[in-house]
Amino acid sequence: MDLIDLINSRRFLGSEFLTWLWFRVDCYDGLLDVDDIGRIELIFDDQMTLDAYLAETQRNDLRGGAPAYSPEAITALRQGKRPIKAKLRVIREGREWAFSFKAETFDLATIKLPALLTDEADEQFWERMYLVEELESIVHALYAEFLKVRLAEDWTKFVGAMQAWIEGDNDPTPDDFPG
Amino acid sequence: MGAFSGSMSYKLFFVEGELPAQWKEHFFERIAHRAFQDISPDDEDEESYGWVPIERPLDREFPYPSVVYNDYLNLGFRRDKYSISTDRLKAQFAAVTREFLQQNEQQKLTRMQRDDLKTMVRRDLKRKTLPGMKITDMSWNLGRGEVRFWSQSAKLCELFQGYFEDTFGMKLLPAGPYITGVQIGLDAELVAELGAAEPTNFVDGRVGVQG
Repeated sequence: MDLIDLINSRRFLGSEFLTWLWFRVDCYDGLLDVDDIGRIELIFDDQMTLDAYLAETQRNDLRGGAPAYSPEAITALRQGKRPIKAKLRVIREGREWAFSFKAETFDLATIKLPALLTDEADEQFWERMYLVEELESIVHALYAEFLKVRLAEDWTKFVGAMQAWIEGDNDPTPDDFPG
Repeated sequence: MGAFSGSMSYKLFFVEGELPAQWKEHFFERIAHRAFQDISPDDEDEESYGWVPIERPLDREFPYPSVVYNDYLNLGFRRDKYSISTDRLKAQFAAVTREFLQQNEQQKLTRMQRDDLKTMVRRDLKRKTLPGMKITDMSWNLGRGEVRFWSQSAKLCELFQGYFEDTFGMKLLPAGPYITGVQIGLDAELVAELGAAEPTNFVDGRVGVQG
């Protein structure tokens, strides 16, 4: 399989990552300890799009409130749909980023950075880049953790736990997250 | 828009390979060679694209301090394009055709006459308008080997990617589930697993199924 085929045929991992992240956030109330990053708070914000993989079904585009906790989102999950795009907020050491994450392409859009400290144009450029790269490092660290379980034999444990999460009516706890 | 101010929506690319030893001289020569060139109404091409200094899209010089900021190489990707509405083109062509046939006492145009008139009408309309201009910032972190391009339009990103590779002779890999997985330092065994992974069905609990 050539590189273009690998890029296109592995896009499904993006929505699996976002689903796993949603489950993890739900289990830990958004407080996550991430390898090489430390503790962050991650919040699924007010926009989420869910779609089925390969199936011709209606896409759910949920806006306003907290879609990740809405009956519409849970129903969509139970129908086999997955989040393909979500607006997220990340808080680390008192600084907050808000952004949209597109699962199939890993594009970060409409990023709202923490407040800049400088007024100088050149300094602002470096500060903007530093903050963007810090956000990417957080996302990449989370993805690395996902891949380590996704590509291991333990993945079946996660699939079972996530299946119970999707079907269940109770709020999950850290004990529900395999580890 | 992008690198210095405004909306932060961009496409991330990873640069494959190491910087050449004499990268400064080499890159500046290549940037100047592929700088943006104005498009003329008489040109056959409807669009032109190339590099401009960031935040100074009308300049053609690339002074080192305006391009390299410590570890970052910053450029604007300028694309000018004529956009003439089909209806206007049709209406103008019809009017010119009527006049031509009357003057030459012909019933209909030959194929060559039709092609010539079309070219003339298009050129006249282009002379009456300015091409649309779009500038998109590009910021290359040379140390990390990452390029951020401030657009998520698939068409523009593809155009940019090809132009970047032709300019600098280095390949760009777009971020995404596979490429990012490879780039974040997974060991070789996991990279091989990544290439072989099959979808999971979270509803019935099966791994390696379609949907």
